[in-house]
Amino acid sequence: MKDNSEQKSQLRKGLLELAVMLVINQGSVYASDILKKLKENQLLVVEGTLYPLLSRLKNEGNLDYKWRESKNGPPRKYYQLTSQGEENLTKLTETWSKLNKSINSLIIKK
Amino acid sequence: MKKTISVNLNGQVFYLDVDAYEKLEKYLESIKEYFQSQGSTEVVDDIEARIAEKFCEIIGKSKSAIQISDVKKIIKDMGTVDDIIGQEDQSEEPKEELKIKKKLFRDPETKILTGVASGLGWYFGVKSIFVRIAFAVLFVNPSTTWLAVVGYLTAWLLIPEAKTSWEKLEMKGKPTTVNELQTAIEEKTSKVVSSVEVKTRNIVQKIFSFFGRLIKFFGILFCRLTGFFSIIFNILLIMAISVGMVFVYLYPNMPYFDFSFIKNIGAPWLEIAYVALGLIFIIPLIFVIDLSDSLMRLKWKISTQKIIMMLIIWISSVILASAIGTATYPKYKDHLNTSIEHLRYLNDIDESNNNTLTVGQVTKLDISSVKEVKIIEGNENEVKIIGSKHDLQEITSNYENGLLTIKGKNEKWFDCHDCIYYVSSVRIEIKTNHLDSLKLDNNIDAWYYPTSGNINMELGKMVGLKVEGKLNQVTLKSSSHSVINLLDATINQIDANLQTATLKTKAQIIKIKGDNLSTLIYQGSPKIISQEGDQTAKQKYILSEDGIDKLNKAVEETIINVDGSPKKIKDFDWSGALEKQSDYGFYNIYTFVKPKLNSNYFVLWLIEKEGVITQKTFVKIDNWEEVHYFNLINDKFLTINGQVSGAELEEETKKLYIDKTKGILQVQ
Repeated sequence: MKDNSEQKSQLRKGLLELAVMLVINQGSVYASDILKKLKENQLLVVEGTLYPLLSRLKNEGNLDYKWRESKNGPPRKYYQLTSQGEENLTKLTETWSKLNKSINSLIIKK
Repeated sequence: MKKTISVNLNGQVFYLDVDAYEKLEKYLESIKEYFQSQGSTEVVDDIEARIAEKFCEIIGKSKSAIQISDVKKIIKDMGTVDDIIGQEDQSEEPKEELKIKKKLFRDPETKILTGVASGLGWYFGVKSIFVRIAFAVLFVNPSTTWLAVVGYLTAWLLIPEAKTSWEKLEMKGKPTTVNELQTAIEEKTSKVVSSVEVKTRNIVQKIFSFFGRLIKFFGILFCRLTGFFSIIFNILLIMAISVGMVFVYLYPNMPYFDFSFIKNIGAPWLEIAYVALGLIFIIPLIFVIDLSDSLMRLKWKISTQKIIMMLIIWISSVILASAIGTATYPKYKDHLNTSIEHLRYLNDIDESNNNTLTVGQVTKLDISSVKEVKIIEGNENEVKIIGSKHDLQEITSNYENGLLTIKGKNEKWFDCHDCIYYVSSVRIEIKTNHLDSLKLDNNIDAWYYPTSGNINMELGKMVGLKVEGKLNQVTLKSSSHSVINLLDATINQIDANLQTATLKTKAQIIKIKGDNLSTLIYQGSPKIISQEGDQTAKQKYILSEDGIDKLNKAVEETIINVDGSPKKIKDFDWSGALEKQSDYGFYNIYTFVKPKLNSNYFVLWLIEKEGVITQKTFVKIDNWEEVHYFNLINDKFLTINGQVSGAELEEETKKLYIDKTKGILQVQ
């Protein structure tokens, strides 16, 4: 049987942005926290992917960061959603719920 | 024993084995190269920070130096550029099988000289025309010519020409056709390049990629700035041309700039010619603005349609303008030539000391056909003549027994509907102890600053004379639209003979004789003696034997009638009288008297055309400070500039209608 990892990664890719915004929405977090969450949920293959994504979300005005001191080591960037980001997230989650419903119904019909 | 290297990552110091260091450096270099080209250096910093964090964890597990296995694991976790792009990049573009690294070559296919410009164009992803424009701009500017020449020659010597298809591909950075790619690949696999050649070429390439970025940065900056300022400059130029043309259209008959004859061309051809002429200048500027815009954006922005359209409009404008021009030119040839000639002499003013005349004591003056004369009485003796070189050549002067005669060339006068201008640029400044007699003729503006004594004045046509200072007695003969303003001069007695002239004075004794086109305006309460045959309107109405008494009475009565509370003529401060001449020639002149503090009324006499006083009337003004000036538009109404309020003027700035039958002002 042909390996369908390509399809899987395509699926993950599409949802990664939503996932990242959801993690950030839980509270002000820094990159490693996000990576940890995403890895736990097996949404991420390589860590490097996150950074361009964060940069893009920031440039689109969906999120913002603040520098905060850490106990050991240099200060870290703590990300949080902007009001625009929160709005977009609400819309995205709505879309996701609808999508989820319709896909599920398709699965059940099968 | 292994050698370690200390590395500063995200502000922290780590020790790496040499092989680990090399691996990491390579990895970070690839990351940097990709993301910096995307313009997001932030991502590079973030990734470095993350790697630093991971290093900390490793060191935390009691290791002293980072080993290659650690770095390998980290790279696996973080993902290579390809991994990251593969996941992040949402675009469905198929991955390019062949990685072509852009290199700098000279392009023999699109070259004009040696292909340097087109090669640089390919390398920087800019249309080669801009590189050429940049070179041209550098070359044309004398201070940077050397830069263009040296830069070009160096580039020509150092940059190799793209000879093979593969090199051409490298030059362009990407295949432009499928065929091109195929032949290039075939060639590459078959061709063996000598290693020495490759080496030298690599060095050149490295130098260029190092300086390339620098040059690219400044090149882009240069293009953008040049474009930007060029746009601003050209927009301003268009505005200036438009304003200038509108100005000439509205006021074609300014002194020294008399193109008033164009009015005779008549509508609509004059207007059409104007628009066409404007377009002839403005359309090329619009094109230059478009070019600059393209230069600024580094992208060709002008559509062919636009160019064609502009060309059509421009050519039609040229045809129209030249057609109207040829049709009207013979008729107005002389006018045009004279106008242009005067324009040419206008700025050619000679202020050098050579123009000082050496003469003895000047007691008599006879000057005609110059622009300005200034006479200052004092201890000095000097005669200075300033003007354009052309006009100075036309000047003749003669000195004999205290009489200085200076005559300009009596050139052709311009005749138009409302104006007559003699165009001369000559100014004369005379310093002398005392003048006995002053004769001015033919369109002169003159200022005279006397100190004492008597003078005999004779003023010819179109002479405006203003006198400031002290004089005992003045004998004046004045004719042909001359205006003599003696309001700032303290004079005991004036003996005036006016022929179509206007005299303003506050002399204590005025002996007057004038025709019915002459006007006398006075301030204060002088003794006015009418000579036999005098027809000046003012005298008729006011200056007869009991004129002043009659006037005083009339004013008093008027005020009582309107205000209800009697006021006397004493309330008016005659010495504070103001005066202003209408801007429209010599006829419409009025004067008014400013009242003292305890009255808000003032009396207004209107001295109209032909010197007839038609009305004396009054206006109530509450706030004098805000009244700037009065302006008589014609013999029907006048405007008051400034804030005016009171019983008679209900609104602020208004046109006042003069009701001739009742002799009062009506607010409109």
